[in-house]
Amino acid sequence: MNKILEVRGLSKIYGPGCPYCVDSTGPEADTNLCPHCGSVVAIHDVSFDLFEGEILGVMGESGSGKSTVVKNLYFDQAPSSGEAIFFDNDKQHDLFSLNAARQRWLRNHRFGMVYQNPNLGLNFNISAGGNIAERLLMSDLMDYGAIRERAKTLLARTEVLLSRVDDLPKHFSGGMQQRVQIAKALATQPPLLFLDEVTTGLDLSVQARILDLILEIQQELKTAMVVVTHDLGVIRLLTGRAIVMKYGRVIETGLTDQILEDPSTPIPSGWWLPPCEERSMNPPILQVEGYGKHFQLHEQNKLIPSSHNVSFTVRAGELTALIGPTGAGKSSVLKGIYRTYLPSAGRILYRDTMGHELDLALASEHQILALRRREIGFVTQFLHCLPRQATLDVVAQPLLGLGVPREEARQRAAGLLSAMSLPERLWSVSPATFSGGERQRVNLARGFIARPRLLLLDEPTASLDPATAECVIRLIEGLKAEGTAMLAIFHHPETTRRLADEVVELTPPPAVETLLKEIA
Amino acid sequence: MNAMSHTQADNAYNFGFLDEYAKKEVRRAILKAIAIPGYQVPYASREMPMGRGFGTGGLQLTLSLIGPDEVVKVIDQGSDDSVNAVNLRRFIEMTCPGVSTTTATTECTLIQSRHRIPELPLTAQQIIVLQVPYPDPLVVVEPSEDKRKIMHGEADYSRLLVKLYEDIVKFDEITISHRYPTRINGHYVIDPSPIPRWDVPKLNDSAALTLFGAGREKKIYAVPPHTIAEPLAFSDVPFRVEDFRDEQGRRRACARCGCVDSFLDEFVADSGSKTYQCSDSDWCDMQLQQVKPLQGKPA
Ligand SMILES: Nc1ncnc2c1ncn2[C@@H]1O[C@H](COP(=O)(O)OP(=O)(O)O)[C@@H](O)[C@H]1O
Ligand SMILES: [Mg+2]
Ligand SMILES: [Zn+2]
Ligand SMILES: [Zn+2]
Repeated sequence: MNKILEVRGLSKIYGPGCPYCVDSTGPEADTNLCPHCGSVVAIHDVSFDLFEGEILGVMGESGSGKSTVVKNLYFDQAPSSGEAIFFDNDKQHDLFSLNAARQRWLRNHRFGMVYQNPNLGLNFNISAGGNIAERLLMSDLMDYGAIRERAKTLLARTEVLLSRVDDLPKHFSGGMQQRVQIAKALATQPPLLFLDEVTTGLDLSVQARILDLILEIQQELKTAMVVVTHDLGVIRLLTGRAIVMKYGRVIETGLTDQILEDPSTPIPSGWWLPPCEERSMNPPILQVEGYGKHFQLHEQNKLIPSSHNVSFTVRAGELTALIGPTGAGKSSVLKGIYRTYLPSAGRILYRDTMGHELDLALASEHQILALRRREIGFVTQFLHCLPRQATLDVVAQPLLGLGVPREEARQRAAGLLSAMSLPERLWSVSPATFSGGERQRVNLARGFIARPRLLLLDEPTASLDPATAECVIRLIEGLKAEGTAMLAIFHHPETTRRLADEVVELTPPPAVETLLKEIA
Repeated sequence: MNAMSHTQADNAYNFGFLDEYAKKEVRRAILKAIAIPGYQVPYASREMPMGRGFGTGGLQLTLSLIGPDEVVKVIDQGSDDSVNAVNLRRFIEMTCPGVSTTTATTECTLIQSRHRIPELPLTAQQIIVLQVPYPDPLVVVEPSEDKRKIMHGEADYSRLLVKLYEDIVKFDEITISHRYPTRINGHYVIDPSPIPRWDVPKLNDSAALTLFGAGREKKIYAVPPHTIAEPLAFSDVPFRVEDFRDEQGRRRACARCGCVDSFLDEFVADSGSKTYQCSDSDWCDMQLQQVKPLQGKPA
């Protein structure tokens, strides 16, 4: 994957600034307002990379500097210092050293922006079609018919009724204005799109359609996006990686689910085991050695172990089950493999389709995201999906990510849902209102549909009635027979007995003191 | 032009009314305008003894260019005899002793005009000065002059083109009748002053120098001789001049001279019937003279 944007040390100070601005602001100082000179350190030393076709989240509370980051990158304002390199095919642009004319050219032709306030992105006094025409006319397209066709196609793509192409956007609903903005931003097919709180303030159902649209666009056009939001749900649904901001500083960066679920700070590097030397003749898909996960709660300066020294293997077409009492750290093992948790110790050797072996504990975020898309599935007890999205689309989503056409994806989703005997009347509604058992079937279907090579299952049958559970167990057997490797935690010992080829018993980790001695 | 810089003893005014310094400044702006076709050159517009809006911008150009051997023609809306034209002509005669005025396009060396360019193609020996009320075509889409300057600099006329787009959407054609935005030499788009669309093609590759003067807005711009002037349009919706066909699709003729290829003014009689006449009075006279001798011959 190629890098499209590299941001280094981006800073923006509103006000005169003084030598103490930086030191006297930030998360530790609990303010972004310099007490010496009254300047606002809106952002300081913000750095991140964005890759082609990737969606990066910028999250944080209101006032943390999120909008300032994208405003600077879109040249709405100039940063106080910092650097940003935009990689455009084989060209490289040092954004802030370009002259104003070049900056405007990039802004008009290679970038797109969708503002929270549609008033900023749209000209309310010209028609929806005219708004898109304006962007096309900037790039020397001078054929009225062609411009009109393209405007209509874009508006249809963003689900604006064609009967409204010639209406003024000021008469549109908020959701429709955002769709026109998105269409306008996409008019020149920019490889890079900035979205600033685009769903904030919209009805939930409208939000859902727009989030869905953004995902579709990313899948279809491979547009790289920086999505700014204070809404954790939006971040979780749209982004694979994110940065977290507070008082103008980046306080965390990483895989989105890791940021949301793993509160610990990255562990020191000395904890890793040496690389393994010998190779077995028929290596398993997954080989976990000495895995451990400790949460370091820095507020209390306390170490809480959740898994300790766990080792096992998972082979193609086999199911390895984890058992053990509550607190033994079973879920934390699955999360560590999926990298929702950053492992604290051990080795997680994964052999991919190409036969390459990779330590998931050390793999880059992009490697992890690619594996999640293509090879490793995770079914938890919770279903994360776009609010108000139809069940069929929820289940079809992973296939779209792999480039399967929407219709085919829907058909395969329908097949799977009927195999799980989910009543057809539920397919077109959102799983939000479903019973626990119904929702869990949707969750499983979503996890199964792309047929991952390695499937992680966390109590998949827990909330199901016996009949449905039976149906899920059959499905798991079916997947196993097809060669899927599985690592599972089951609620019922009978299920474990029936499905597991190998059983690994975990014990609760020892007390911290013992652990620390061991490390020392 | 051979502008002279002397005060006649019997005249209270400097020749050409403006002082030599003011003339020099205007001439310098004119040279710059010629060097950058279509670019609006700012200049210090002087107070003239008539209200702005009466063509003071154009008049300052004329007075800066005029020499004692000049033959000047003043037109207002195609007519040499309107009050406005007559007043301006008198002012020139009064302040520029020795200068002769004419109504004949063929005879003049310098034309000051409002709203029309003569039908007769101008020659390399002639200069036409057009009076401009609003020099910047972007003013309809962008209120900030600073931003307009940037847009001109980058030849970014997308917002102006959107206006045309919206026109076609609403009316199936571009409805701008006067001040049709015209791109000069492939870059700057000008407001060619309130000439009808009919006159816009005359700017293209004209043998004569065309100058534009906006007194109130203090701007001078130019279309130098043999410069490309293209009215903004779409490749599939081309620019069109006014259509003078009647209901039967026949080209209307001038009721006075019979001409069928001039810009026509419409006159509505009390009875409600409409007649049409050449807007360019000199052209109409010329046509009439050419026709008369023919009629004089026995059949
Ligand atoms: N033009 C401005 N002048 C002064 N302060 C500003 C300006 N714009 C933003 N700020 C301040 O900069 C900080 C970051 O703002 P912003 O980037 O909009 O935050 P967010 O998008 O995360 O809500 C806030 O404290 C805000 O008040
Ligand atoms: Mg914001
Ligand atoms: Zn300060
Ligand atoms: Zn006539």
